[in-house]
Amino acid sequence: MPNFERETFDDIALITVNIERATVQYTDEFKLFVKTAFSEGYTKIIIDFGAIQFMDSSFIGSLVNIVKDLRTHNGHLRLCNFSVPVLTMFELTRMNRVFEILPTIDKAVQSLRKIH
Amino acid sequence: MSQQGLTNSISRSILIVDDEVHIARLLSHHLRKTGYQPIETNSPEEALQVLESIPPDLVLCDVTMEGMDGFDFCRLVRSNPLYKNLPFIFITGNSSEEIKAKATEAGGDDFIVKPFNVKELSLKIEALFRRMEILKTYGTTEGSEDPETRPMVLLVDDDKLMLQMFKYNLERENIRVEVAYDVNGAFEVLKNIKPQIIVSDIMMPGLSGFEFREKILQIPDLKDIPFIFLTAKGAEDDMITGFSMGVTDYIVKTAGPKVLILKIRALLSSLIKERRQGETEIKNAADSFQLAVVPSSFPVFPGYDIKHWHKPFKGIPGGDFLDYHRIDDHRFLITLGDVMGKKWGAWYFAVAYAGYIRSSIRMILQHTKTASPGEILAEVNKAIANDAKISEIFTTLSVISIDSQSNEVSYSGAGDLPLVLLREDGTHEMISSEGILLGFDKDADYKSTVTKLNPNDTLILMTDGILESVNSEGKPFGESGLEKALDTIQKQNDKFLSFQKEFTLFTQGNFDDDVTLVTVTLGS
Repeated sequence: MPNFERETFDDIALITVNIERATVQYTDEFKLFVKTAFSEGYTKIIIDFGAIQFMDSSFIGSLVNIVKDLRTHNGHLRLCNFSVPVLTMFELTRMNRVFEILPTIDKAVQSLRKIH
Repeated sequence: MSQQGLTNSISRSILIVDDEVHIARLLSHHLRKTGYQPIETNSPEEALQVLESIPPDLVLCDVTMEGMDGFDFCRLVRSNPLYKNLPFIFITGNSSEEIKAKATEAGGDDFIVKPFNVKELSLKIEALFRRMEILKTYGTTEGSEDPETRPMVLLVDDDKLMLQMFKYNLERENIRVEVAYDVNGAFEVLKNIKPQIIVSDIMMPGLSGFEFREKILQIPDLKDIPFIFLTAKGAEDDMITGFSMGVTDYIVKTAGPKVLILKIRALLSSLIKERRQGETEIKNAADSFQLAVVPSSFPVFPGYDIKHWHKPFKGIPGGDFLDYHRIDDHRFLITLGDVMGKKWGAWYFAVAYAGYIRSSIRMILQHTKTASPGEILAEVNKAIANDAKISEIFTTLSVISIDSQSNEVSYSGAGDLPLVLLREDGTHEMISSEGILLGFDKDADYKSTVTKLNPNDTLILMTDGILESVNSEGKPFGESGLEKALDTIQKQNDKFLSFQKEFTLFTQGNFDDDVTLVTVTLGS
């Protein structure tokens, strides 16, 4: 299974992360994967983190980098399907205020459909 | 033992690990009499702390101990690169083959069976020291066995027979070889593998060796790999073209495999020398940087006991930084930060960036002595967010100010972990901040929260390296590890040492990241 997979519909790209431990070794590949989708015209991006049980600060750093980049270029990012340990880490460090986090893919799609 | 042995052994330190206090005492007595410097410890945990600060010359360790046994302890010691060759002798009451096998497997150099004769022990120690001297003088052969560290050469030639012959000869010399029959094939190999040396033919179907070299020169990652041309043509023109393209050497095929091997060997040994020199320089630079990243001593602030512990990732300082500022006679400021993504190739960049943040904090303090932690954070954040060059980087920061008159602690944080407040009665609470990480939003709001400390209360600050560190099974220390550690240390007098111990036991001394811990205790 590839580390990252992409499905698209309309202007939305759904990116599924298939790794359990999101650490520094994946950050470059991950950044490139998401930014490629954006540069191909998918301005609304959902990332499904369902498989991730642990995320290190370098990986979070790459996410921050992505969201900042997207916002300055009128893109939109939604994160969804967090496992409990990852969500707790995000809440502890207030990353939940930096990102828009939704419980499910459906909720993320709904929230992006409202944007025109 | 001979007189000469005595003089040789002077000032060598021996770490004793035995939970039977009287045996440890006895050993210590004998060793001192023989002229060694014994360091007595009664548990692996205690011994680990000694190893953190004083590297001994030899370890003498009991096998059966409560908690961690001697074998596990030895494995743990060996996992530290610094102690890979530290002489290690087991003391055991059981001389079975099984125990001997286990001792060797755990990384022990020798063992001695109880009850033992002191003379026998001295001889074993002497013998081990002598062996260490030989090792120091002549080095080890290690490395040549590990396939990952064996040098690798890429050979590119359309003459398959010639390739096979060179490959065979190089592999016999313990050099790994990848082959490609043309330039396209070579680039396929280079996608996944970075060889130490590239050897290429000039005349090949498709792209020529010269064109290959030209392409390589345009790829930053590959352009510095030593490049050797190998060709049947000995024409002077070709050699001149080759050298003008910055190749390292030029070999005529008719010279035979022996010449190629000799040249590759010589080139590899000069590369290894160069790398060793580079590593030494980086380590030296890192050592001097580390002094700047974390204060070298604990601060003195009346009524308070403030301590810190910092372990840079793999000995190379990365993103964590810590500062103390005395604002006036009764106010004291602590700032603890972490630059995210410190394991980038450019580690020194994280250090430089940390320096930038620290100097902006100092500047703010010079202008406004009354600024609250929240106001300080807001100012620093604005400075960073406005600086386009560094807006790609993000930092967490905790700022706490302590007032020794009111014993109030004011705290504000940017994307940091909550503070832990351990009350004297054994309960603990988390003090969280609302602020998001620095550099993300220039108008972000940072509020300060004020908490009153009572005598014997301890405040703990840490960076996320603590929670992210994993044990040998890959399980992170995390929040559950933190809760467990807090439960254990609340019964201990020295919260600082006992937290360090709990954490080190969990991770067995292997950290995934920079780790920083600060404790602030109000005296009684």
